[in-house]
Amino acid sequence: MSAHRTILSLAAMLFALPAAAQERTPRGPVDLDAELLTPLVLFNDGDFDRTPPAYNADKQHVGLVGTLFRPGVTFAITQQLRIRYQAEVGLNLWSRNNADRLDATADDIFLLLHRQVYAEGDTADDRFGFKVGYDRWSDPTQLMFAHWTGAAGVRFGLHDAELQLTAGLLPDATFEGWQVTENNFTHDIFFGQVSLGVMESSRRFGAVIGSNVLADCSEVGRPLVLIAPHLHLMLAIPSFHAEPNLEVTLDLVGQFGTHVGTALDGGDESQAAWAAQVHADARIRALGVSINLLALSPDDELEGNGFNGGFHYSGLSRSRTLWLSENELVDLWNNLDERTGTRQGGHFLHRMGLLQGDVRVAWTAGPVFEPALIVGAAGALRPANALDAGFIGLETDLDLTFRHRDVLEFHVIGSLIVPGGAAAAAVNRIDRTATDLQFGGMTMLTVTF
Amino acid sequence: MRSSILAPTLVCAMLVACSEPLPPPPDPTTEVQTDLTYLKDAHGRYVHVHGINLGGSTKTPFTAPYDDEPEQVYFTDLDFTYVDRPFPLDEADHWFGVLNEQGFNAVRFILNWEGIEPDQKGVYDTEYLDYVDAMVAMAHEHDIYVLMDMHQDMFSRHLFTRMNEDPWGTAADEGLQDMDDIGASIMAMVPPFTDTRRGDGAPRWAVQAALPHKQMDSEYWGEPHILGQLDMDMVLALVDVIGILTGAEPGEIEVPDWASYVLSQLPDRAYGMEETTNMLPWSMWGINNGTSLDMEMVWAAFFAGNDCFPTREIDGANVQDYLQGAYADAWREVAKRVADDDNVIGYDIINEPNSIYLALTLGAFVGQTGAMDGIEGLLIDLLGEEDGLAFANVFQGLNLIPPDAEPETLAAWGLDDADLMAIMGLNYGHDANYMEPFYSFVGQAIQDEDPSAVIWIESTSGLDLVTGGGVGGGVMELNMSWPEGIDQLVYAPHWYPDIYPMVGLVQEPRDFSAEEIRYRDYGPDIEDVASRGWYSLGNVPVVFGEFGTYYNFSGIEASIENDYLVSSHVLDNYYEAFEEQYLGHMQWVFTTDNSYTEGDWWNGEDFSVIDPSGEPRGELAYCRPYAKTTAGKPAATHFYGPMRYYDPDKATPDPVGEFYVEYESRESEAPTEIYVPEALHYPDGFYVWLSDGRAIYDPARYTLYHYPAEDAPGVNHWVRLLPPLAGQEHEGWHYFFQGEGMVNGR
Repeated sequence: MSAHRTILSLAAMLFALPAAAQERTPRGPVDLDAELLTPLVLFNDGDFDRTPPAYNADKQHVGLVGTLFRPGVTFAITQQLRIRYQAEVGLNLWSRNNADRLDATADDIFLLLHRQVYAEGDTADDRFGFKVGYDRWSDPTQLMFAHWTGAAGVRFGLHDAELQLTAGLLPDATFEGWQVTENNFTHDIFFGQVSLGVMESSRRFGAVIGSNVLADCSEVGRPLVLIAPHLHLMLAIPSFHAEPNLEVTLDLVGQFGTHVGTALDGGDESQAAWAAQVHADARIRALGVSINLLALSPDDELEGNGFNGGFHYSGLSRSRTLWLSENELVDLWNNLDERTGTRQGGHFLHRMGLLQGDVRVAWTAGPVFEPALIVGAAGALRPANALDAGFIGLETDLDLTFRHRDVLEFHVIGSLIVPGGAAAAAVNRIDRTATDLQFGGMTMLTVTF
Repeated sequence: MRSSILAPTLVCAMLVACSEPLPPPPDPTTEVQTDLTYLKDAHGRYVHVHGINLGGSTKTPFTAPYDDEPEQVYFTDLDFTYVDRPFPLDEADHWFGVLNEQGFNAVRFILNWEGIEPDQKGVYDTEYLDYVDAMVAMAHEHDIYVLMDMHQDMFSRHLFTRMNEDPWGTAADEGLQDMDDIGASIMAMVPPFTDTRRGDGAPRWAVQAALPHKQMDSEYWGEPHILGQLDMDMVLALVDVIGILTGAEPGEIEVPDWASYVLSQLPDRAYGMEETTNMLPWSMWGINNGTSLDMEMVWAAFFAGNDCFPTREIDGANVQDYLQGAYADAWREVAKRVADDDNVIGYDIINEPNSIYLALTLGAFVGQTGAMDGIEGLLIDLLGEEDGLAFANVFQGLNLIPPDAEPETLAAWGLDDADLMAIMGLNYGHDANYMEPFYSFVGQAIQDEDPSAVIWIESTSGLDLVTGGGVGGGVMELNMSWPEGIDQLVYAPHWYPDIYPMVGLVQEPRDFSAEEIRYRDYGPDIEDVASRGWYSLGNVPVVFGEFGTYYNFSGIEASIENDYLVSSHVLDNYYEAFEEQYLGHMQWVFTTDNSYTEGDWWNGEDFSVIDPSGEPRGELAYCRPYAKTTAGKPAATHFYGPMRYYDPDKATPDPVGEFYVEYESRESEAPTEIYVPEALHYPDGFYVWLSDGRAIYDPARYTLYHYPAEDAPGVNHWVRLLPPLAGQEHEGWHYFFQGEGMVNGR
């Protein structure tokens, strides 16, 4: 058991494996788990322009209240072989979804998502493990791949090192179907990953080096091929307590390749982009501090000139901001690091680039109450691609968390966003230059079994 | 090892920050060929023709310096050339640049038979042909397709009638009292002659071949024929007729001042039909096609000489073979020069050929049957001997019909060698019987020089202009079909709404209000005209070769004052109708030497989309976004410009500036290209929504490129553009472009 947990921890620390179930030993042959979330979000506007639309029954306020339910089950067939399934029933908007509806194709019925369907196993000595199925897969940095997708991966334990090989397919709209007599993989988005992770024996320093590969064939005749070397470094500095009180990670990703036939002259577009992220978590007694600095490279000022310097971003960083970056409590795709990019294949392409820094300071007042303050700011590295505006915005949040043991958590969050011209250029729906304040709040009730 | 290369590559990536210049896009003017109902370029894209005719003044030769004395050109046969028509080569870079900026991806280049073969059969003006070749090449440099158009109206500029274009002014100058519309109309036909109504196209020698009985060197050539026999006796006869019609007693009719003036301006001697044309200076010049025996005779000789004038020969060949052979050879000379130019989109064999033969039929019938005697007898029976004879004398004296069937008379009228039955037969099935073989003959000559030539044809202007009627005509239909031996065919009809001056000789420009025009739906008429290409020509591509509007409604001053509002509405109606049916089109016209007083320097027309200073007018209508090429079969398109008639809905701002194009499954690797007049319609930038794929905007080329991604059969692609609209929240957009700036949407 000890060795098994060591490997799992190593994997979790180094490879950013997300599935909570992986870090939990199954409670018996059939381990049920569940999570129920009820968010309430209310903001004064969806963009930074308070220009009234010609007609809007709801004025400009935006928000929702709904419920998510995520039941899961893990079948521990043997100690080394498991099957995992998790569904998500939601998001069930209170004002929309109708339980009386018997039409399965109607718009207002509950939505059922199958989020996790996979099998995983390992050898008794943990020198080999595998995982095959559908799950949220990430690369070690999470900056390029953090997707719900199907994949197959193997890992080999090599003393204090671990080698991972993964290959999979990202969901896209051009799948060909199931005809066994035909090539069904002509226009899909393939990804692969090879990573070698090492950890110093005291577990204070670890590193992962490797490369992602993306072959996005969803644009017919215009495949995008990227080789993406990545480096993930982790440094943990212990304190007088048992746990380290400072952990610093560094992520670097380069993306190099070719997008066939997408230059203005019909020629190929070369790709050269990068992303860098530094993150630090520190704990000083009851005070927890998280700092994150993220940069995504921009494109040059001309799209279609045969070169793209914009980064193909997963949309997931380690930032703790709620609106500048992905809100881990409830991802409504209103985060600006996605809205300032554009979807391309399974990624967000950032032509204006991104430089974002943020800090979260939390005070653990006791077992029940933890207030936290979040401050973050972001800018565009290529203002010319944001209508000559460089500032994306400043975000401040107050997050009050109430807990009851490990099973109930309640957040009350107030937020203020001071937008910049770059955010206005990318987001506004009437006046592209308005930078009116955006403020609002959110509550979230989470019950976990 | 990997880590050793990782750092340098990352550094390199970080350093790559300088902008590389935009590469040229895929050649937008590659060779166009037909594919069933469509035109496709060498990339396999569907080409949508959004063109303009070039140019209005090309109907007359160029004289340098071109001044405000058009009589110099009109009334004499000075040395002339069509070189520098429509504009000098050293101005071509500028003007083609203007055309490209205004969004026209094609021009219908007006050629003249006279320009190619000016003085005698078989002798070509190589300087003019060199000029044409150079102009085509210059158009290519500006991404503009060229349709070679052998233009004509009323056959030739050597068929004309002189006129006084301002009889009211003359009356004022002469102090004439009691001037009325009748007086003005008659005074328009007597000196001082200040202008003409004339044709264009064929050289003088061709006219002489078709009308061998004419004395084109006569000093009276072009003077109104009804004055040829007008003497005091005829005037008295006219007075008698007026008296009969009004019931006035002899001596009661007062001769107005203008009549006395007219009598003082009569020619020195009488002249017959052989010394002039029998055209009249109709304000709407085209009426001559249906009223002039000369006009109809040249067409009968040109299209049907073997049948109608079987003994009319030149150099041992029937006039039809002589003229058509020369015409085809002139086309060969053009094709030789431009066959290698990929931007030549086709060869428009002849402009607006005429097939109205009422005057010729009537003249031949009266002349050859001696029916004038019958008519005279009928008038006597009806009106009595005295009054009947008076009417008969007027008919005969005004040269409206042959006065008798004497051989000399028939020879003077060119009817002595006419086959009456064949001429009567011209009135039925003309296009099938004569145009189809003509197009076959000339088209094959062009194909000999340019095997990949696309032949553009149109139907004749026939009786259906007057009688209406649809495509087929019912159980007795006789339609023109695909000309034999032609490999690639485009049907290129013309259509103009009711914008021409009223019937008369001194009609002012039409007077419309914007409200009168703005809601008119031209769609049904355009569909009816276009359907001939689908109905009997085998569903060939249809591109309207001409349409347009006057820019001087209510007078040029009034038009300028209201910023050509009525003309703009007319044009917007056209374009909306074309877009609704996704039809190609070429507007009439782009005249770089347009004049406020002379218009396009021909027959008082003023259709130019640019004014005398070269500034666009009515551009809100014609300068509009459209898909120049689509990577798949075009399905739908529209642009809701500011001229559109809006019916507002609650809470929905008018979608002013909305452009939409949809096309079917992708068939080309090359992108869909959309012209975007950003400065005119999107000064605050524009949003782009896409069905799929990605888009790039190149403001220097006014072009948005759409690269669709999906490739499955049955998948339609679309692009939608909208400017920022007050009160309208835009969501879900993919791009926002403003000049060289761009932000990504969702």
